[in-house]
Amino acid sequence: MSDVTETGLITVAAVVENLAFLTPLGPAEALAPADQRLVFAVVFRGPFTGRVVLALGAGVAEAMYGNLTGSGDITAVAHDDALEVGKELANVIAGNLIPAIYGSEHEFHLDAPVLGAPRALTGLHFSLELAEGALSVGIERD
Amino acid sequence: MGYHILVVDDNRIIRTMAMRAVTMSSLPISTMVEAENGQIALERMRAGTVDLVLLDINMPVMNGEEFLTALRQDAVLKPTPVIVVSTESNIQRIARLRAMGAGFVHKPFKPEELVAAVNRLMVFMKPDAGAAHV
Repeated sequence: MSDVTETGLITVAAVVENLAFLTPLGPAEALAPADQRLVFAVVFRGPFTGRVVLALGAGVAEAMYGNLTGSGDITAVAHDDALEVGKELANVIAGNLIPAIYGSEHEFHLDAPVLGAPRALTGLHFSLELAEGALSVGIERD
Repeated sequence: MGYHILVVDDNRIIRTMAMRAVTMSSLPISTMVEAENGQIALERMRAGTVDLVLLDINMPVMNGEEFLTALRQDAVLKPTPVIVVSTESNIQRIARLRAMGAGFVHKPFKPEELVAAVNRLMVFMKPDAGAAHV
């Protein structure tokens, strides 16, 4: 495993645990587009531009919603609520991952997360198996 | 008698989380209001008393840094204490925010970290001091 991959995985895992109270189990293969239930993109602009893409597998957004709101029943989480928590997870992952990978001496501005379409993650990407499902994060540079 | 808190974040669920964390502090709280961007936050502050602002940075319409700049240029609103709650890690940007008198809590935060930052900042304030009111 390269240093960059390890850094990325550790950073994503820390956010997943500390923000979403999810349980990372270890590295995983990238989520295939067919397995991506929600996808968010966060455009970043700085010395270079690109986007951080977060792809969530089944059940992850719902589990996060339950953890953040204390709701015991996550079988009927509203789609809007799943989108809200997914956007925040994407925002915080991007905000932590970009400086971890590229250094905090650069100033990057992040756009608000937007909902995207499932996609194959190429280039730099990090995937985690969770007790609650799986997720993948990719960095696409323009 | 208690503090009037304004939570500014474009994410509805994160606003709820932040409000829950603040209620866990030892602060007496009179009101908690929300705003989804800096522009609405300024409107809320001009409409009523706000003793403390919890502020996200990355928001549409008016982001946190733009809001803080406008706040510190307003003769009535400028003394209002602000805690920035953000993923920001760039040293220069954090220095700019701190130079405008803002406290800082890094996301992801533990609720007790936010509570500690609020308690540290508000120990010098008195409830209903009317830091900013029309």
